[in-house]
Amino acid sequence: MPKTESKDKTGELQLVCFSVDDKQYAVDISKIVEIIYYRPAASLPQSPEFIEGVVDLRGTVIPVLDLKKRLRLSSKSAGLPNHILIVRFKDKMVGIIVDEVKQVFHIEEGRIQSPQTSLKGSGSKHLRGVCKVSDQLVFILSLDTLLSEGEQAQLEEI
Amino acid sequence: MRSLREFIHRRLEYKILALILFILVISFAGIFFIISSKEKKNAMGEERAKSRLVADTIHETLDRDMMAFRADVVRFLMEDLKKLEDIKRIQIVRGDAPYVGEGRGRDEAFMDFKTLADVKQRIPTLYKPEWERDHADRKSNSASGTDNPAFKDYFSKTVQTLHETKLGTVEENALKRGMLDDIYFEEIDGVPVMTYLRPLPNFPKCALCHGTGYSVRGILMISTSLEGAHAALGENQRYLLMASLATIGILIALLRVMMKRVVLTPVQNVVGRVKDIAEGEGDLTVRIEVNYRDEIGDMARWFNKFVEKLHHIITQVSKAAGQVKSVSQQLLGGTKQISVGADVQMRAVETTAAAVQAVNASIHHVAENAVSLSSLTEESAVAILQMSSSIDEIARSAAVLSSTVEDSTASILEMSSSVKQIDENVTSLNTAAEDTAASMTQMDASIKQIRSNVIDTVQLSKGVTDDAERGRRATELTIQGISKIQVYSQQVSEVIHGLKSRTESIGKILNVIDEVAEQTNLLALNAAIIAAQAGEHGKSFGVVAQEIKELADRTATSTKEIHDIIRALQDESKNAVLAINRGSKSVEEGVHLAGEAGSVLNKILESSKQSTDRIQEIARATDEQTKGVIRVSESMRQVTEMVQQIAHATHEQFKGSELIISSTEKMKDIAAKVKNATQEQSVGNKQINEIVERVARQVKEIAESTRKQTEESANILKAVDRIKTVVEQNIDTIGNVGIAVEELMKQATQLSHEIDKFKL
Repeated sequence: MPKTESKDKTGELQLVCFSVDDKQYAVDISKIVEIIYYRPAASLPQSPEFIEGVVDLRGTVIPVLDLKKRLRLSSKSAGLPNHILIVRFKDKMVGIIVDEVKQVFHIEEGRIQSPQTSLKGSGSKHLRGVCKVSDQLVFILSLDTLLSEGEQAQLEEI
Repeated sequence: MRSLREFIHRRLEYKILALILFILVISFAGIFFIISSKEKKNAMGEERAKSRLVADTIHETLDRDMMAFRADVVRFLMEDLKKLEDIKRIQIVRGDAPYVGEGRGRDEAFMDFKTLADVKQRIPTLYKPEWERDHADRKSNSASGTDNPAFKDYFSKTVQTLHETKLGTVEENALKRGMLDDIYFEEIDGVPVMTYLRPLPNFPKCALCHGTGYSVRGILMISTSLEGAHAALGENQRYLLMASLATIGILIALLRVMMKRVVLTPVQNVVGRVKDIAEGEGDLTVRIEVNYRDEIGDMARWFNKFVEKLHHIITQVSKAAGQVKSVSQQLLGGTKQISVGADVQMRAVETTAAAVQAVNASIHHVAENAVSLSSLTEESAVAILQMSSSIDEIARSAAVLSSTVEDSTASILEMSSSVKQIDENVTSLNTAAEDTAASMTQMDASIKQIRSNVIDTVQLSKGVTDDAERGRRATELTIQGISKIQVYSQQVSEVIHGLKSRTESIGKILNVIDEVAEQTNLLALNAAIIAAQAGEHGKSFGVVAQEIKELADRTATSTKEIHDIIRALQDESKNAVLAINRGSKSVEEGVHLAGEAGSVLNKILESSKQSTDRIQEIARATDEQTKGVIRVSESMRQVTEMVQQIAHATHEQFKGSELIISSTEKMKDIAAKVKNATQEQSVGNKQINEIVERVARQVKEIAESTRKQTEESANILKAVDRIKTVVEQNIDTIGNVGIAVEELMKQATQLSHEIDKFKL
């Protein structure tokens, strides 16, 4: 599996689009291992706060985190989480709970706008860019920055 | 006998005693008779019982010993019993066994060998020679007393009875209890006896030795002497008689003593007192002492009262006798004076008679003259009187006429005023009648109005009835329609329920499709991821995955749409069910309401029918009323006509009466004039008349007085003659009276003397 982003020659980016709290997000497809149906995570004692719990995927115990909590999004609409994205995080696999995986789409890199400075805040470090798909704004998330260094270390310990 | 009755009748005591004695004797005789007959019956009963006892013994012995083939025991028992003194005769007379021959009902048993011979011939093996021991053998065997007709009668009757009876144990026992027993009385050697009879039937058990074919083996006959019984009876009777006589004697003695004390002594006391008063000097001051409160006391009291009354009367008589005596003496003196006066009278009468005869002759003469004068005067007077009376007649007629005229005038005036009044009344009546007629016309009009209203109402109420009827039918139809709706809505509800369950099934299927689509979607996503990761090689795979995903998405969209449609359908069907339920409720209410409406309409129908009936009645009544009003109107019209006629008549009458009044006024004047004229004439006449009458009266008076004088003097003469004879008779009578008075005096003296004898 290539370690780089899934870019083809034409400079097109392949992304997986999903919704959390009625907003569209997307991640690079190369990071994703699998999409599974949401299942409740078994809480782990003395685990870090950002870890929701663990799920069993065909014999492998995978820690999962809730993107909604992570992005500190208000949960106005009580839409139930539908899917879990299984992503490769360094050498570990981590599950990310999302509302619903919508589609896989291609986009030219040039059409991705970098996040404006005004948007840069505490949460902006996770954001890689914004693009428009079918007149809808899609926030492209950077999985590498989703967790801090300390958190990544804690994750290693599990 | 007569002297005895005379003797008894003379004394009260003997009378009462004789009566009591009579009653006692009759009572005791009755008692004596009853007791005697009862005793006799008892004695006979005892005798019979005795005989029965003996018969029972013999019967028992016979029964037992004969069965034991010991005929000789019975024979010996009979012989022993014959020795008893009281039993004058005891024997068994042979019955109707055929081998006895002529001896039936006559021969005495055990006295010859007829029976033994028969038994020997019948059962030679059982025959016992000891039966013949000491057995009598009479050549002519005839039992005593069998010639008695009573016995013969009994024998034939018993044979007959037993012949007809089938004998068994029950009958045997009954016979032993004396069912066919009988007795009769006879004499043996001058001794009175009672003969007791009992049949000894030929029972089936006797047949072995004695054969069959007959009913009676023998009759047991026991005659007991009645000498002892008779003697005892006689003794009892004598005793009873003595006791009765003694009782009667004692009762009589006792009664006599009691009677003397209670009745006779008081009566004798009273009789002695009365006798004293009667025989003594007639002392009326003596009274009987009253010591008794019974009837004798009453008698004495009332006797005393009688004597008191007598005393009073005699006293009165005595006084009267004294007065009679003095009066008689005075009478005697008076009679003597009358006698002297009568002589003087006699002489005076004779002198008077002579004088009267002289007067009489002179009067006769005067009378003759007066009579002739009188006749002349009378003639003229008669003529004047006739004239006067005719004038009087005229005057009276005139007066009557006058008064009549006046009366009629007054009447006519009254009539006139009445007629006026009538006229007025008639006028007012006429007005009233006209008013009434007008009112009647108005009433008629209003009644007609009522009638037309009533007719309208009848039509209206008929319309109401019809409408109600139609309404009722409509309601019924409504109820039917609603019921059908109910049924249909139920069916619809069921259909919708079915539809709902079908859609639910569809929903389930869709869910499955949805799920599959979703999974396909996810798989497509994962496939796309894998394809992307595969790089260039996975590119076409990625395209396929993308297409699959799109298909899955479309499927999901379609299923979602279907879901939405189904949901909408389900909502609609739910609404439909709710609506149907509500409809169903409404239908029920509708049915209920329709039912109520139906009943209300029925009620309306009923009431409107009733009101129609009522209104029709009213209509009929109004019709009748109208008829009545027409009749009344007719009558009123006639009344008005009549009143008008009357008014007319009275008006004419009024006119007529005014004419009459003026005529009568004239008549009245004429009558008054006539009256005055006749009155004047009458006065003149009356004066003449009075004068003539006065003359005639005087003449008449003279004639009358002379006639009377003549008659008087004749009468005086006759009277003087009569006086003379009377005086002569008086003189004789006075002589007789003197004698009678003397006699009376003598009698009075005697009476006084007699009365003086009573002590007063």
